[in-house]
Amino acid sequence: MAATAVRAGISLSGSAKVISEFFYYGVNNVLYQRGVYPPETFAHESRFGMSLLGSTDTAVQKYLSNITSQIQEWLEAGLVRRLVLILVDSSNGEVLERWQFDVTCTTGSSQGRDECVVKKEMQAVIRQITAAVTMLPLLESPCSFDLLVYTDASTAMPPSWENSGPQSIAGGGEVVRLRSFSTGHHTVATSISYRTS
Amino acid sequence: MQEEQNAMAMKLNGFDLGDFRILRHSTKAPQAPEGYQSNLRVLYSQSTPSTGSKQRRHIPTMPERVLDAPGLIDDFYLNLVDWGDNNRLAVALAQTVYVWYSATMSVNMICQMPAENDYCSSVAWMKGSNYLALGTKTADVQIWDVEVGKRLRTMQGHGARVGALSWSPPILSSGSRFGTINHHDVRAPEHVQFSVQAHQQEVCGLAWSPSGQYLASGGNDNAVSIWPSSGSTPVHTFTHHHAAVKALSWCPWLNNVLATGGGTIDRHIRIWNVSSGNCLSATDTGSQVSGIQWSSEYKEMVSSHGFVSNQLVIWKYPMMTKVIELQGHQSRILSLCASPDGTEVVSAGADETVRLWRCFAVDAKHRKKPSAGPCGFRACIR
Repeated sequence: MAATAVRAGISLSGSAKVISEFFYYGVNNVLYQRGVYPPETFAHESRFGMSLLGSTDTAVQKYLSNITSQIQEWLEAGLVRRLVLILVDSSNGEVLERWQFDVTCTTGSSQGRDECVVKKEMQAVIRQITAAVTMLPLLESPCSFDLLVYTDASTAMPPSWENSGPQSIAGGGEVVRLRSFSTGHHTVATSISYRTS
Repeated sequence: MQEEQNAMAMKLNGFDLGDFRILRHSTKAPQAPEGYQSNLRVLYSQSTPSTGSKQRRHIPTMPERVLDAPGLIDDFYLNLVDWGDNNRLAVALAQTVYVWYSATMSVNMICQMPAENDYCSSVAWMKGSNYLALGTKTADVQIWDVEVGKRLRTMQGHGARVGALSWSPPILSSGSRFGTINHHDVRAPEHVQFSVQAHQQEVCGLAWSPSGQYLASGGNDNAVSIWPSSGSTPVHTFTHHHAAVKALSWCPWLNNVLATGGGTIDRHIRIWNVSSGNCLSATDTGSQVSGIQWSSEYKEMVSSHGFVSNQLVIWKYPMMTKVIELQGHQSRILSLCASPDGTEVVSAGADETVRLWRCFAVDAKHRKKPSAGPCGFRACIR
């Protein structure tokens, strides 16, 4: 029998890293697709075996990496419940879209899944996000975005973070569920809610 | 407060998140640049018209070269230019026939009709050779070896001027003012294979199909006849045109598809399936059609016209949508022929110019463009 080592699955810290990266690029993708920032400010980067878009604007990059690194810490500690990206109408502050990523931590010494499999599942979700954009209603006015993290109630408040309300869409809106993927340590389920006028 | 949050949580996702708090970063996300408006509306709205279909290749609107052709006879029924496989252009100017070679820009006089009232009424190169057939007003058909500069044969058989010629080697077909078509086997001493009274008036267009299966003839009697390679009864006769049919051209990439163009009163281009006899399409061009050439590279056809615009029109096949109009001739275009490599067409006009148009240029990546002189170079054929 060939002595090939069995590929170790993703570790917990690896899982946290992968999920926060997924979140980083997922948010970038939505910002690009929904036209929050000019498309010229995005460039292609190779990640998860795909060509993904990332913002080249340093302010946006800094803002997002700040948040995602904090999320990574919380993921490792198993404190994250949900990540939400909201798109807000700049003129009246109304929430137009809510991109929701539910995270379930499988606590205990669960075996991480094979990297390749995880990558494939993530690719599928990102492609679905891109595809889903075509059926979302046009965003007529300029928008800004915001990120909310639902954590365990016991989580300590880090500096420069604050409490927030759920920022849900008035009247609930339409909900679309996308695929989920799992690293073995965490499972992420994606859904979009958007305002119906 | 916690109760409310729990209730909201249940409503939002159908499962209990447990005790949770919602955190957000204190600073707001960077703003989009001032005045930026997302262009998604343009991308995704149906009402916005698209900015034209596929990007069209660049077709130069100016001719690549303009040659002087003094003495070119302004007669719709003659066919005075032909571009041979040897890349030489034969032009008949009244009594003299010249051959122009684009690579060296040289002009050679091939022959001159001795008689005062004689003139050359048609020219046709034999495929893949240096042999040029000439039809004359005095009803002769002459074969010249252009390389050597010698006349090889003079064939009689018609009673009136020979305005149209077409080769299907070794057969040369000639059409005359009396409406007769002769098929000559140029190798045999008794050259006339057979003769048919094809039309009631002058034969002005003749074209053998690329397969050699059919000969199409067009006459001043407004008829188009399709003749089998042997046999004197036409397979089809189309009388749809309302004017003389001089423009005849077979599609190089589809079997048995023929395009015909009608004169001043008709102005239509009709496309035929010759095996079934159906007219596939009819397009009103708005002007007298004097020539048609196809481009297999781009699946297009180009037609030459007279009054009012004296233009060339490029059409997309099979939709017959206009791609572009090329203007330049000051007077009606009399003849149109294509280069052997298919990238250029040459039009001879009643304004005594012969213009070369590079309208089917192939992508530079695939072919190296032959060196061309400056646009508008005038070579005097005298």
